[in-house]
Amino acid sequence: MTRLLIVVHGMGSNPPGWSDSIVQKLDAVAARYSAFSKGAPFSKQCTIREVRYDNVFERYIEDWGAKATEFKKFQDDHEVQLPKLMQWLTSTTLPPEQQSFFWSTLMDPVLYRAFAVVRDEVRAIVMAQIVGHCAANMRAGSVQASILAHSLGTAVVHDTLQLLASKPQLGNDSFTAAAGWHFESLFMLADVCRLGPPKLLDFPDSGAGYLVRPRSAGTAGDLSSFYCNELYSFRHEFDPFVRWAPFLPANWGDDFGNPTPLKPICQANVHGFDHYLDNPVVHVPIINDVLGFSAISTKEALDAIANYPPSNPVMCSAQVSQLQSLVSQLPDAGQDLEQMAILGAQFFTTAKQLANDCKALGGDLGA
Amino acid sequence: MISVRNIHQSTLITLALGLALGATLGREARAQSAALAAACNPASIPAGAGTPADFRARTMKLRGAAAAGGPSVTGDVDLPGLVAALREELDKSRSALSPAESQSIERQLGRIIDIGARKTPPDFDVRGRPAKPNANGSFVLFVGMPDSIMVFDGMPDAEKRAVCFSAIEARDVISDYMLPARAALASALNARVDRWNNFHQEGYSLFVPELLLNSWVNLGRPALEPPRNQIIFLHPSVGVEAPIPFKTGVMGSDAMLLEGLGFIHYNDDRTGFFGLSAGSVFGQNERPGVAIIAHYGQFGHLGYVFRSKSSTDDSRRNTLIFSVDLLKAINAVPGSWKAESDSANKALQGCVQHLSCSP
Repeated sequence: MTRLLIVVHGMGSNPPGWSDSIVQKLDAVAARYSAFSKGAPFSKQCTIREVRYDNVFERYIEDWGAKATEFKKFQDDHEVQLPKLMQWLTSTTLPPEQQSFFWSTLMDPVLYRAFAVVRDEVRAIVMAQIVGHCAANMRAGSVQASILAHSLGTAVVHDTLQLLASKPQLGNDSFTAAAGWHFESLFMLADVCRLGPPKLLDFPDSGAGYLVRPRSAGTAGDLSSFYCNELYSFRHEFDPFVRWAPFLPANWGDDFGNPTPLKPICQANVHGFDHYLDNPVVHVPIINDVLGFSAISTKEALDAIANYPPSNPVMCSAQVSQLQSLVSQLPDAGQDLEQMAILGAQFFTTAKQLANDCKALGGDLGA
Repeated sequence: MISVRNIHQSTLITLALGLALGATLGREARAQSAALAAACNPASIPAGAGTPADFRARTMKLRGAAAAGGPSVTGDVDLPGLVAALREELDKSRSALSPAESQSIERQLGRIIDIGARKTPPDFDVRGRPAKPNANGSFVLFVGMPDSIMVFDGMPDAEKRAVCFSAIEARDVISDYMLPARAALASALNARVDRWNNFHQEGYSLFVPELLLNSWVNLGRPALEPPRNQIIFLHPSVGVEAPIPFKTGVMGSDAMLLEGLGFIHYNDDRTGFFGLSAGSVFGQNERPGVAIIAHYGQFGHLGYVFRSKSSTDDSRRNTLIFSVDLLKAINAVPGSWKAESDSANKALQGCVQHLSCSP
């Protein structure tokens, strides 16, 4: 049996091989525990494959970016009234760094949620890669596949799996829940699968035929009633994107891991993939579930959680407080994609500034 | 230890115990888990006769070409043969099982054959809960079913192996039976991704308003497929505008074309398209004109531009507008024709000279 972990990125630039740093991080956090400190690293005890869909956004963004000047000229020449979003982009009041960040990162969720053509391409690509990784590893026997997704990747994975689970794709039903296929665990980090205007969320968890749920939320013994054995949804208290739309389904039972929001801040970018992975509340179930046994003992896990974070960045406490204050005061973005994108840009810019301030003091709040 | 029980009850009890004693379960529990893992965790099962790996090797001929690393062939897995082999394997270890365990496994094995009739297969997951305080010390088969089986550390090793090995082998058989169809789906999904790539590389680009409009207006696009029909809407581009009739070649000047509305239809694999649109042309030192534009895939577009008579000039200056790519192609034609003609003339001259020099 192959133990397969498929990792899916979030918003932002993610070139081929983007998951190398995530694999390194998983190995590094696993090495904190006795089973890995001397033995084979975590990544050598399972098969890890990446999914990449950032190229979909890149194609559009690069095309439009190359024509941005012409676009502005077109606007000026013809006095076309542009939507609020585009006015903000062409506004000279926005710092260039924020504009660049918007195009490379925050435009991704806007494109995914608001444009069905983009959304479908992302889903088609992610579906092909997930199925491809599973099928390729099945030649050596059965596969126990788990998915580790972050940020926008949680929404993409959620939506893609619902399509894959619920109906045949291109006339082939072999990966539907009814055909018995199901994943071992879904790990949703910075889970934003509910973020966006309700009208644009096409798979509500209360809807009929909803299957992206854990075993305990389905019918006992009926493989066609769920699509993963366990589902974990992690969120951080000071991650603005998750605060705007927490994923809190009711009565999903024991197989739904939904710990209280994380609180320790070890990086100014609290939304970051590796910031989530660093926390033992997050990485212990990932490591143990993927390997299929208690590689990390209960005692080790509880000790790690009690002693986290290992060192308190006292010298940057002012920056941490400032970040907490900023996030607490951010207005609720409600259902407005543009507002989310703009507030998100403000958050990332401030986080970066605070990380730099901390670095100047000799501390470390990430890059 | 007989261990058939209602799993919900036992889960609640162990959960409560685990939460209360979580801090003290510690290393002892981990040791128990490791012992169980040797029976129930495929990664920890030592190699040898009678293991799931051994069973797989012995039944490889029944599993079809794909399981042996060859091409996927639908229908080449001998499912009845594999189920019979599973039963034979269970018979070898049946004495280690209680009658209830034996019946429970037998009942689920009997359901495997039904997947040939597209029925949902039985659930052979061997479930552990490694990350929770109650994780260590048990694995469960047929979770949530009345005849679920819990495997404890205190069970005889032969019983543990009989339960878990049967489940692991059955799951493996189901996986191999489904492999050709799953590999076929992987290929089909990759082909769909290729259609998307063609759509981007060979298709007509989409600006923001067009992307919005084509997202809102489905035009019969199947789910997850690239557009088969595409609306052109407020699409700006730069072209070359040339007065007609042509005098010496195609001479033109840059112009901006804004297509207001149009329609494009793609072929099946999205490698080509044709369409028609209407728009405005803004040429240099010219009044705006109205254009009808024809599109034909990578050849680009060609439009006819109508301009109204000016108040000072009685002449109507209608023009053609080309995409830059199309203009290059058109201008390349006379050049290539001339090159071929020159080449043919040279060859002819050479031939004539050769003939005239011959005795």
